[in-house]
Amino acid sequence: MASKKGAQAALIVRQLGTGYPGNRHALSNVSFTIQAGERVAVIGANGAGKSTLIKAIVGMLQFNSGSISIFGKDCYSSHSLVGYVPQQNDIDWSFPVSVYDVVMMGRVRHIGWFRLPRRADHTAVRDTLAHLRLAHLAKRQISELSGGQRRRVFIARALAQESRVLLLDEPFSGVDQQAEGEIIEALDIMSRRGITILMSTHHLENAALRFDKILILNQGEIAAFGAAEEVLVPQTLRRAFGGSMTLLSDDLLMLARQRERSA
Amino acid sequence: MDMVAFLAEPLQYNFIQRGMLALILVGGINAVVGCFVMVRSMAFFGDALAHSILPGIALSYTASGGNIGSSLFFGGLGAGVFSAMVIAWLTRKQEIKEDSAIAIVFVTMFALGIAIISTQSSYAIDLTHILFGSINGISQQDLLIMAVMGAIVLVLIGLFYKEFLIISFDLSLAQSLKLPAEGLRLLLLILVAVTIVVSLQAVGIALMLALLITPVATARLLVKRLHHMLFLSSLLGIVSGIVGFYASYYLDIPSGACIVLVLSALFGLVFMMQSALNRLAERN
Repeated sequence: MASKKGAQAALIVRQLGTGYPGNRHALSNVSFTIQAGERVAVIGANGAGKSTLIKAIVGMLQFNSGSISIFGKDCYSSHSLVGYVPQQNDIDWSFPVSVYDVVMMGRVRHIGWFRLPRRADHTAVRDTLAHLRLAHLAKRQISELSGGQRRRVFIARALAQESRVLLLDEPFSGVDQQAEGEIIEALDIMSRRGITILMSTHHLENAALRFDKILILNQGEIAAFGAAEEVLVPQTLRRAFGGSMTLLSDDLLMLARQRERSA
Repeated sequence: MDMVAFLAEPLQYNFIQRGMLALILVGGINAVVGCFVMVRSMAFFGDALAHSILPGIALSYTASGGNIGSSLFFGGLGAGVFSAMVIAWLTRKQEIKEDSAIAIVFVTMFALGIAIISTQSSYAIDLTHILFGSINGISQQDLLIMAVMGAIVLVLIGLFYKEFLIISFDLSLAQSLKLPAEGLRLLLLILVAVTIVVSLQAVGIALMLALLITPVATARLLVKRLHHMLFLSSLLGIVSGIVGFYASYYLDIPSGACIVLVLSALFGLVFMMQSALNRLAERN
């Protein structure tokens, strides 16, 4: 993992409280800062508020309290700064669009209202597809792709969008090991470009090994935030996941130490 | 009768020429708008909206002293746009599910329309025209309104195509890009409403849904990208309009029923061909 981490804050979340119809207080009093170029994994049990946090940063939810700023701009006005890879189930994969069309969607703000894509936009889409080794799939309808390829297409869309923060909601769910490797490779490409990454996951091994920091959510609040070796401790894991998780904590600590040695 | 005479015979009358042009227009425009209705799974909305315009039509009809013509257009348009806006407003925070909101608005408006029409003495005949269309009664002015409104719909879809594509495919992208997703959704609903009202005289309320959905479903079997679907389905809509027109003339069947049957036949043909090809491919 080679990332260009700057001193500039990419994402500042201050005392955020938000939710949605049915659960108005899915998140409360959430505060953290992510520096430019950092990779942060959000972990927590089902219903802890991982997806809600990501949707709030995208600007999809109204806040009860607090604020989110992305490179100094309010999250409601910072268009094109945030690229988002939604959960697999949030997309209608039978929709009549090709891989090329999906990546071109990322260019819409660059193209502007009432305009057709220009040569520069087509070049950007082709370059992005080549960069993520998706050029051979450009004409495929998205339903023909595997789970891993679908995630990479959405990562490519964020790259074509020229976003500076990439948010991913459970990108590893339902994909095989090979696809997992391909997604990680795509994330490494984003990191090399200095893009800040925030990803929700249940995949603790990937979180411990491949991310700079881990944010643990528990019932809508932050249980811990910091480097893997600091936060993946039995006490925190027990608080966030319940008793059964402590059985895993030794393995996770080992992973964290392994990561520390390899860094 | 030779082919030229067969094709030319109905066209010697001006009112029949207007009817044919109306069917071509309606077939093409509905197919374009129908692409978005289909990919957004709004078939129920399309059908409901076609019924929701009834009170507007009924009020204009009563006000115009029982004329079925362009005066109905504006009444229908008002009721259609009103219904679309009420549905959009009810569902804006997802507190009420879209299909429930559509059902409530649809039956209320349709019942209101029936109540207004029933105050007229020629209730049954008029309702038949509104439900099944009245192609022979299309005036020069009606045709002009259809053409102008149809052109406005097509131009707006062209101008906002990429934004409509995004809000239909992935609302979260629209939100992350800060596109005015709600405004665009409302505009799309209004365009569906305008299309339905434009088509009212040609096919009537009851069969409207077929014009929006069937050519698009046929095109979807054949192509895989939305803009290809737009072109192919509008071509199918226009061809069905022409064939339906001749069938209506020679078989003396209402034009709305004819165009719908042609559309369904084309769908059936393509569906069976696709199935046969798939079976063949599996065998090899």
